[in-house]
Amino acid sequence: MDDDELEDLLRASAPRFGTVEDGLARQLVTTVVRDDPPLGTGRPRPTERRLRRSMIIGGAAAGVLVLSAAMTGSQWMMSAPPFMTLEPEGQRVYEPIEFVATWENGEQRNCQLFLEFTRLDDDELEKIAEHVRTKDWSRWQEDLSDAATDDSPDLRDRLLTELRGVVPGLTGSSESETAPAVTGYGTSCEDVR
Amino acid sequence: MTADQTIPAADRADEIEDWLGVMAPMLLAYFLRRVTPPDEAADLLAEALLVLWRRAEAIPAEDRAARMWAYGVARNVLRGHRRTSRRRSALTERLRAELASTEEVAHPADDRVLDLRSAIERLKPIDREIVRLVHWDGLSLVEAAEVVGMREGTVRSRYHRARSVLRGQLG
Repeated sequence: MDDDELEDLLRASAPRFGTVEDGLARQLVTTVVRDDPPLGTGRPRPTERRLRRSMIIGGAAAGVLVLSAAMTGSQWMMSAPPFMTLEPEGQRVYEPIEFVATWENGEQRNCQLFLEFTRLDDDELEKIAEHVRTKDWSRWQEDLSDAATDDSPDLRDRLLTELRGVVPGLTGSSESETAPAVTGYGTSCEDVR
Repeated sequence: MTADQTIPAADRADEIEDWLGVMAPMLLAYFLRRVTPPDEAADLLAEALLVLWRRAEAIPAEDRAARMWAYGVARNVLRGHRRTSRRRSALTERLRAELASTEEVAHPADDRVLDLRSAIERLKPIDREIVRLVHWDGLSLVEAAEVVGMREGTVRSRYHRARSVLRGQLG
């Protein structure tokens, strides 16, 4: 099969549906807008904590803050723009895993990774925060650096295995609808000055 | 994205609502192409619209960036849909009912297309999503990179690798 033929097949492979539902989809917008409080009426702004934290980081180090857009694992990426907020029912451990990331041009930045969960109780959250605070993460530098600069598929399983030692019932986000789960992580970096 | 590029949403509620009206069918198509049964797409769309509305203050002002933002939210909602509670309204239920009987307009008779879909399903999840964003949702590789939150170069190399895999599997 040549490239042109594959291109044609790829184009033809998209499932196509009727437009009957499009009108309902548009009406749904009206429902959502009508049912939810109007903009600018004091609704909590979920980005505030993240932004505030970013400012603290930047101010303390007098460096240039870089919010990393690359922290994926296919099922993991939760915090890349525009996902800087937590999902509904999401929880974030604000104790950072600190590391130095090296970009492909050789530049290094000081980075922090924040773990995100769902369905943890307060004790479990505190246990994980304590573990993050006390563990020596130096042997994780390579995976953590990959997470900050691009993609670190291995980090997901490694983190899950590690954190199951702290919260035994912890699962990956897609494994259960009821168990506590790791849902992702976010990283932020600043230039080393 | 910098703060001065975001929409002052309190002044632009009507504009945001209109924009959501434009995006809603596109997002519905995005979900329909990715979930089974299709009526799941109603819940996902409702959830995505709610997230977009609540985050309207941060929607980029530039059209293309705003569209990528919306796809990004849709992708995030899709990933989380098994663990979040559903927003149910009468209209959502109606949309669910409509979608329950939804079928493709023209189911491809070409076996090679069906083989290709199967091959796409077998790709690594991130590669599968890149291929779908480009060929099913009509995004450029630059835009797909924005949606999946990866560098453009990485997405390009993954995309070309995925094409090689697909070509190899289809013979």
